[in-house]
Amino acid sequence: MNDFLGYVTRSTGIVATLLMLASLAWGLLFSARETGTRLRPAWWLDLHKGLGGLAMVFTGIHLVTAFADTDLGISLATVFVPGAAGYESTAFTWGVLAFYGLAIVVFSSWPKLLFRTRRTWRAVHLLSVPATVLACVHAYQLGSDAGTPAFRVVLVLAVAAVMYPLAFRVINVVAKTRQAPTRS
Amino acid sequence: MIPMDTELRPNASIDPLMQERLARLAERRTGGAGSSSSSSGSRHTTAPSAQRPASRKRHAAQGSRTAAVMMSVGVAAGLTGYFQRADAAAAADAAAASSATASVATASTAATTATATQVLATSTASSGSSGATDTAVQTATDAANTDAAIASAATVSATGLADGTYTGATDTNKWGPVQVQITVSGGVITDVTALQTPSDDGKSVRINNQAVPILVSETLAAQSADIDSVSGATYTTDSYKVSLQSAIDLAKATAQQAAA
Repeated sequence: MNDFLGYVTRSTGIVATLLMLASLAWGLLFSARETGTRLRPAWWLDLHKGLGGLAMVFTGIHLVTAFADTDLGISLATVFVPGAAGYESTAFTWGVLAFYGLAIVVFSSWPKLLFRTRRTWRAVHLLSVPATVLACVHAYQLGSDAGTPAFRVVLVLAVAAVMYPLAFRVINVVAKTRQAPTRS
Repeated sequence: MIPMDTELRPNASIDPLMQERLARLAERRTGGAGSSSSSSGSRHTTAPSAQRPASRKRHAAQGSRTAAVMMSVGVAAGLTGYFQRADAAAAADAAAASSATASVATASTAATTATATQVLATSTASSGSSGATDTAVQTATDAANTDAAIASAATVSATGLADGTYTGATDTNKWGPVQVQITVSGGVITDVTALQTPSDDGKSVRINNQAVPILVSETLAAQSADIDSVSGATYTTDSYKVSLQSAIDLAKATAQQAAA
C-alpha cells in the first residue's frame, strides 16, 4: 500500500507543479491582454481559474498521500510547518511555503473575492509567482524523479513556457507605469 | 482570478476603461450588439438567474476545463502506473542480483572459514613449509579478497567474536544493495559502517540517511543482528540485518577456528 501511495505522491506532485505553471502562464497572458482575438478573454480567465483550482486539488492529494506513506515518515508538522522536517528541511520548507502561497491565491479569489479593492487582491494574487517558483525548486530538490533526464527536460520546458508571458507581463506593467503620469 | 459575475456588479472601484471592457464582454455574452439593453447602464446590475438565457454556460471554458481535468487525471494515473511498472522491473532485477550475491556470499564464507583453518594450521605447525599448506593459504586468501569477508587478527574473547574487521555479504532489496562492515575489538562490536545503501533515487537516500545511524546505534547496543526495524525503512532494515548477520558469522567462525 505504501508503495502505491509513494507512486501517487510522485505523480500528483509532478502534475500539480505543471498545473501551477500552466495556471500562471494563463493568468499572465490574460492580465497582459495577450490573449488574441480568437478566444474570448472570459475563456482564458475561466481556464486560468480552472487550472489554479485543479493545481490546488492535486497539491492536496500530494500532501495527503505523502503523509499517509509511512515509508516517507512525514509528519503533520512537516506538511504544515516550514522548517519542521527532520531531514531535507530546506526542500520541504519550499514545498510548504508554495502550498500556502497557492492556497492564499486560490482561496482569496474563490468562491468570491476576499478583498474589497482590486489593488489589494492583485498584490495578494502576485504570490502565485513566488509560489510557483518555490514549487519548482521543491520538486527539483526533493522529487524522487528529479534526477531523471525526462523530469528535467519537462521542468525546463514548462518553466521556459512561462517565461514568455512573464516577460510580456513585466514589460506591460513597466509600460503602464511610464504612461501613468501622462494619463492623469 | 476574478469571478465570472464580476462584470454584472456595480463597483465604483473599477476604472472606466475596465468598465467599458466589461460592458463589451457582457454584450458579447448576451448575444451581440443588437441587444436592447446594450447601451444602458443596467448592464452592470446583477441579472436574476431566471432571466439568463437558458443556453448560457456556467463556465466560459467548460470544455477546456473538463479536458484539463481529464488530462491531469490521466497523466497522474499514467505516471503512477509507469512508476509501479518501473519499480516492479527493478525489484525483479534486484531479486535476481540478490540470489546471485547470496551464492557468492556463501562461497565466500566457506572460503574464509578455510582461510582461518589454514592460517591456524600453518601457525600451529610453526614451520609449515609444505606446498599443500601454501597453496591452501593462497587459494583461501584469493577467495577472501574476492568478496566481502576479510578477517584480520584473531584475538578471541568470551563473546565469541574474534577481533578484526569483517565485511558482511551484500544483500540487495528492491531499492538497491546493502552491505555492512563491522569492527570487533576486545570481542565487542565497536563500529559499524554501511558500505552500500540504496542510492538510486532521492527518496532512498533520504530514508537511508535517517535509518542507517539508527540501525548502527541499535547494533552497537544489542551487539547482535537482533535489532528493531526502523519505521519507514523496512527494506533497508531487513537487508542491513542480513549483511550484519553474515559479518557477525564471519567473526564467530574466525573465533571458533582460533579456539580450535
